[in-house]
Amino acid sequence: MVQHDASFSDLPAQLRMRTVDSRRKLIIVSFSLERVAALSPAELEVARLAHSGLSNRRIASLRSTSMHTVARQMAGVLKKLRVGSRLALATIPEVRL
Amino acid sequence: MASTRTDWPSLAPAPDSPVFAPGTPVPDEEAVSIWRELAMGGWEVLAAVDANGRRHLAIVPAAHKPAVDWRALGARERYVLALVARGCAQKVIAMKLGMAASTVSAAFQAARICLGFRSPNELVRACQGAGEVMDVSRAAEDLYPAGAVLR
Repeated sequence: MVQHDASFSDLPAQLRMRTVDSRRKLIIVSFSLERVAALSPAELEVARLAHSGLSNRRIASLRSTSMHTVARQMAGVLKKLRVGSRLALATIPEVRL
Repeated sequence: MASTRTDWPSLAPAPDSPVFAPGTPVPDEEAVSIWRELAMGGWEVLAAVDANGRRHLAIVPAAHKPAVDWRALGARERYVLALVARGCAQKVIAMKLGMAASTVSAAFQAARICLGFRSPNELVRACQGAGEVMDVSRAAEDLYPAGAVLR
């Protein structure tokens, strides 16, 4: 049997929300960046682009680097964020936000 | 003669709608659903500030919320999708369901095409905002109504 404790695993650490107006239409969200903090600036940018669905080839041409560089950076991203695949990376919203 | 209208729509809030004092923390359950909607693009980020290892966002509801009709999916597609959206590897799902990894992949692709998403990433993010519909144990019950073996 595989456990999926799951329902809260996609939430960032120490998520807090406060309402600003009386209708709860403007909200201040604050969360810890600890998952993302381990990434280098280059890795973070690669992670953001991959999160939005781009392929390594596209990311390489956007960043004017080699595809091999992007592949290495992606490997670092997946390792540091402890996710197994690009699809699992898409389950971490704070990469994009 | 100038007529004085008395039937203007009232700008005052409806008496039964809840009012929150500014600064109230959002209750946990609502915070979770707001976070998922935010991940899916249902909220617009007005401003972002990083301080002390935290990120602070000011968000308002997005004018156009993306609508997805989850009813279009079959039970197996929904179950596979719910697990993928949790970050579960397709290999692992294949093992759980006792089917080939390629069948899982096919179900995932079928779901993506059925719902009209261009990339798997978009689909996964949309699942995050879906809440109840994409609940894993509920999807499992729909797929195996008799025994909920895979809980």
